[in-house]
Amino acid sequence: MSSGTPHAVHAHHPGFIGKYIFSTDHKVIGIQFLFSGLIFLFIGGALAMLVRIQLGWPGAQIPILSTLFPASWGQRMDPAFYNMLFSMHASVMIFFVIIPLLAGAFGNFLIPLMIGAKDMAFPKLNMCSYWFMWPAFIVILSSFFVEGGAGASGWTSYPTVASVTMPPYPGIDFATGAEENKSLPEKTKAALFKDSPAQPAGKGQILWLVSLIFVGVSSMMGSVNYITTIINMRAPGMTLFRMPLSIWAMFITAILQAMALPVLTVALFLQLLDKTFNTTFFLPPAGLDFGNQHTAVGGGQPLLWQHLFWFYSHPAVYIMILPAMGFVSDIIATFSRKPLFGYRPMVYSLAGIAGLGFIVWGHHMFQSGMDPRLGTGFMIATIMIALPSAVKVFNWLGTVWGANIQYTTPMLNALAFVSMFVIGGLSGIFMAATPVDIAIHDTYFIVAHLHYVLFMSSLFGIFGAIYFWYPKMFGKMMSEPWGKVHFALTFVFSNCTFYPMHIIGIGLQPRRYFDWSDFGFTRHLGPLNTFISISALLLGLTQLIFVANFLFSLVWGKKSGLNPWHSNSLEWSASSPAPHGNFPVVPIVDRGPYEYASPDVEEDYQPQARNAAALSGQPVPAAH
Amino acid sequence: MARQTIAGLALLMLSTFCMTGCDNEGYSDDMRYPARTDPIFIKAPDTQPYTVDPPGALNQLPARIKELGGKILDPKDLTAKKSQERGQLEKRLEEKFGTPAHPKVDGKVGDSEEDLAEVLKLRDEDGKDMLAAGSKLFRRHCLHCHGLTGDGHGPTAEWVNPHPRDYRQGIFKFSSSNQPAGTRKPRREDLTRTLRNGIEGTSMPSFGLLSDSDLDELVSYVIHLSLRGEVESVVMQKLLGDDNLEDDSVVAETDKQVGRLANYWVQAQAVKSLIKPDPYPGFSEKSVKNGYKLFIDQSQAGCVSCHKDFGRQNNYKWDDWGTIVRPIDFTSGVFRGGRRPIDLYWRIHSGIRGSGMSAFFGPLNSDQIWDLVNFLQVLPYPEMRRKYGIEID
Amino acid sequence: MKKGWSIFFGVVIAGITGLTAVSPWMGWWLPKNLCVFGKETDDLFYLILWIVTFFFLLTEGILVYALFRYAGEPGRRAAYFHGAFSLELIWTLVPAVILLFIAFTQVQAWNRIKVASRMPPPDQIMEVSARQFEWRVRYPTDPKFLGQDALKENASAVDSWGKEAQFDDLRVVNQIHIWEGSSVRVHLKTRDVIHSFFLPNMRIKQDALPGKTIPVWFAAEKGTANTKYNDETRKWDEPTVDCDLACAELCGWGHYKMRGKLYIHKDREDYEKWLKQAKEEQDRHAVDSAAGQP
Repeated sequence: MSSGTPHAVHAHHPGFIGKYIFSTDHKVIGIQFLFSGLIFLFIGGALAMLVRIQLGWPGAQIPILSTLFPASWGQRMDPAFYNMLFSMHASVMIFFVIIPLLAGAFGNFLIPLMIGAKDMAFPKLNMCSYWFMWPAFIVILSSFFVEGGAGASGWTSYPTVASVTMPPYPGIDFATGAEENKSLPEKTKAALFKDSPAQPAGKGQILWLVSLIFVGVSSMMGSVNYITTIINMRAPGMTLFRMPLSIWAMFITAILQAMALPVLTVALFLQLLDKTFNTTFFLPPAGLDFGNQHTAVGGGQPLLWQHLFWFYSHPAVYIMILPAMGFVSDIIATFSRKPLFGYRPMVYSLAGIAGLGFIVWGHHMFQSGMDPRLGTGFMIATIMIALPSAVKVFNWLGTVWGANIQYTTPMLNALAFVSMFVIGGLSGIFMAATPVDIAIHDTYFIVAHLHYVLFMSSLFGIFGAIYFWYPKMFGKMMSEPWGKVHFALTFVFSNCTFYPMHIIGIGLQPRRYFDWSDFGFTRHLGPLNTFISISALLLGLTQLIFVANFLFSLVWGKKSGLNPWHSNSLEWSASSPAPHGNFPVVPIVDRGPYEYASPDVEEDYQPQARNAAALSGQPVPAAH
Repeated sequence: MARQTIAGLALLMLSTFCMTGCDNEGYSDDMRYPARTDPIFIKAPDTQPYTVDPPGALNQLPARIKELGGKILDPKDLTAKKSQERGQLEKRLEEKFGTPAHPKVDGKVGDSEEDLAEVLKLRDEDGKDMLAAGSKLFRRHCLHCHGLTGDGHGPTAEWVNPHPRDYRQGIFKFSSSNQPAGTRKPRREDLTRTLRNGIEGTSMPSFGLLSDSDLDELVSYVIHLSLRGEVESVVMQKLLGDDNLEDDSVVAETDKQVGRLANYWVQAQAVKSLIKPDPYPGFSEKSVKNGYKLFIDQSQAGCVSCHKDFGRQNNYKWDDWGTIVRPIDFTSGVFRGGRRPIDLYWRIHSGIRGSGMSAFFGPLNSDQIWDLVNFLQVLPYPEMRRKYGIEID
Repeated sequence: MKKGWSIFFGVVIAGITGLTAVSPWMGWWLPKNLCVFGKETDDLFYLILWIVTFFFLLTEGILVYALFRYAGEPGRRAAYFHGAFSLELIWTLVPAVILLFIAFTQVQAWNRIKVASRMPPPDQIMEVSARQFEWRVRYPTDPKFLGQDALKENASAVDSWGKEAQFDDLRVVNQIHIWEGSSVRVHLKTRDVIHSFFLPNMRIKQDALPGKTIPVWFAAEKGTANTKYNDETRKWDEPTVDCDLACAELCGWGHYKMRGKLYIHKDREDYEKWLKQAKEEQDRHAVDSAAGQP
């Protein structure tokens, strides 16, 4: 608890670069993450559109689009290109959109504001965590343009298809056997980036690994900051159990990131070593055969990657949902004009999801060849994770029960989160049941489930959070009518896109298939596949409404005022947008964040801080 | 407002179900076979390669061959005058062979009046054109390796090794035709067999799950691509080498080559061209041991001179497509051209065109070839080798 | 319009419920199950489906109702309560019990399918070697590797058969041949990348790992034969029920092409007849001059 007296106004004048580019202000950093995240959202979405175009009309000549593909490909998408599309779609969405938006953008923006601090505990480290994303951005975008294309082994990058390279012939040229001859052209010498005998994207895969290492380091820096800030820098009176759920969610998410990311980073390094220095962490002892090409003898295990990868990537999915759950709780309480139902159970269930999240990674590997007896243990833990998630859903229902609901755009998005998360969570139970998983693993049922929790839940949560906190970020309101149009269309189209995936998944249509129309058991699912594709294209177009709303409102939006939503948490007492240093005086917190409809006051809301009126720097109105 | 939007959209959604019928699987009508721009391989360098080219290096091979003293002819070297003739060549090829969406083979067999397309079974018995159907199947199943013109340079080609076959040399490895080596073509059944079984140990998969008629259509289309590619290649070599053309006309030369080369295809399909071995003498220890002797004895078949150490220490060499191969390792049990005794007989009898495996019928008689076949069947299995006393270590 | 939002949510929820309800009639549902343990798997699927449907309708119903009933009006004030311990208890314990029930009811089913020591003694063995991009299948033709009794007697020979190809093995590509009721043991291998052996109609899936041989078992129920010998073509007919073999783990650009077929013969005799014919073809040394081809 550091600040007892107001901090002296900074004497420095940072100038444009210091203020908006290399800023240590958590709000600027948060907005930087927001912008880059939204740009990558559109890149990832475009990749998805291309995937759906192939799947909706697998053999066909698509008007206009076919001409964009080279004649040498028969003017259609090539299967290797398709593999790159879905691999990069997922990689971009997970590592460059959802996690940076939830943790990087909102985590950064909200934490100091909501706990009453001036900034993060380590502002320079915070700035580094954003700028470490830039090498990641550059590397991942450049991977699209290297020979062989960007990574195409799925976002899961399983060895050996992802990790195998040709054995080294140091200094020996394949065509002559002669020792390296300086007169030979450069490109015949051992390439800097190794090509793969398994598939075209050997170079792209190396860049993928490097990019993700940067993302991991950025996130680890961020998580250290968040944990320290939340523990140490809360304003007086802001006890742990008076923090808004958004902060609890960010806190627990940061712990997840700090503990799980190192494992992924190590795994990425191991695969990078396999691909560049010909180590054999993931190469089995007998080596591998690809026609005329034989790899070196190994000494490793492909399955090792899966354990290391999923040990992070399972907690990662909770990293991608917990913050959204926190935001949704705050938004629903605000627009129900009613206290959140079951504050402590909500906190405990966040912790329960996170804790259980560390012991279920094997449920991605039930069919992998790992000992099936391990499967039983993972199965039980996985099924139990449904419990805290269910508790949260019931508590949200309890919040809207007896409420006085304001149907604003953020509220609609938050309600969509709740109703769609029910579906995503319930579909998870099917795959947790191991015998059923035998049939539905690697089918569209899994794709449906993951999109319900990532798009229909996390992304609606993100949209809700953007509409909700936009006024605090920019001092303007986004357009409510257009926000509602965007919401309604997105809700309908996304259900039309992702719900039928459950059905084709029950039909056992495999995922990651360039062309499903060859197989007897999937041929008849054509109409559904085409329907999904059309809905997906319409869904993609709808997002342009959001972009327009976001950008136009920056310039022409209505001024928001301090607290347009009449919400209780501390950030709404600061001015809109909040200044550097956030609060001119230290907030003193008297109550929890959900005192709505309290009989103690006339208004139906009651800001957390005793000195709320002084926190915006505006003249204090005459006492009443 | 949201309600009306939703109602309208629901109607739109429902109407999309009927759109699933609207697809066109073939090439677009305005596509043309592109003119050949990659170098034509003529002669290999004298130096021996160290190993196969690494993934992604396929396109470097012509330049390397040239550097190392081999011979290639590059269409980029066509002078301005010749470019005009090259344009005439492309135009004539289109007249004779059509476009990817509408392929055809227009010509007569040699000097006769017989229609080439019928004799080569590029039209089926009812007169229906197999080539258009074959082209759709090719685009879907084959193009990404074998390329639009059958050049073996599809988008995935440089990443697989052995590389996909370039049909434009008109050379195919696995043939049961007894034509002389320089003009041997595969029989339709050979191509069908390759499609049905795949080529074990390579990236050519089995297409045995396609129907018989689909396989027939694909074979017809492959023959079409090969004929077209070979005609283009031969005429272009003449243009690049400044040779005299038939009647000094590109069109006449093209027509001549179509007739000449198609004739070899026609000959290959004749019943009398099929290699018919003498009856199989049966599998016996004596035969296996005799085969062993033939294999290692340099004065007889002397297989061991190329298949060093029974194939385990073979040297790499350049093949007739300008790519890198080596003789098979017999101890692996993988036979690319087919593992049946008859397949092995055909390979030894007439060699494997393009790869350096010579024909041994002549130096060896039919029984001796059968002995070798029996020996090769035993060779991969340690148990069987012990049983017949074959020492290979 | 305020209450309209609850109707909006309600309509969408109803739509997706409706789609799920009509899907089985439209043929968009589980492929036909032909496997002896498939019924257990499908029963578990339906158990979960009904439980999940109940809770789905319950929670969405409450949500839609609440959105309708409690849509905001100016001047109204929401109820002021922070929670209810008894409710928390109920909605923690009830789901917990249901979930634990689902968890424990399925343990044996999983063990019976996947644990090697629990697999039934096989009637036939085969080796499936997955590679980019096809399935290379190796069948023993030696009688000591066919039939439950023979396989039990020659257990150690089976081990060495599994490790190395034998002289008299039949090699086939992309075709799995079994007979009704036969308990099949597959030795699953791969020499290049991870693939996954997936037979939708047998409800079996197993990833193939380079460097390992993984045992997989399944058995076709009696009465599920899908092929028979055709005297005219002198071959076995294409399967009447499309029983596909598909790859279910991304293995490169040709992952979608790895289609195989499952032929279920009506009895062991028919299977042996096929085996013999296929082996004869593999041993072919003569040419049919009249047809110009073997």
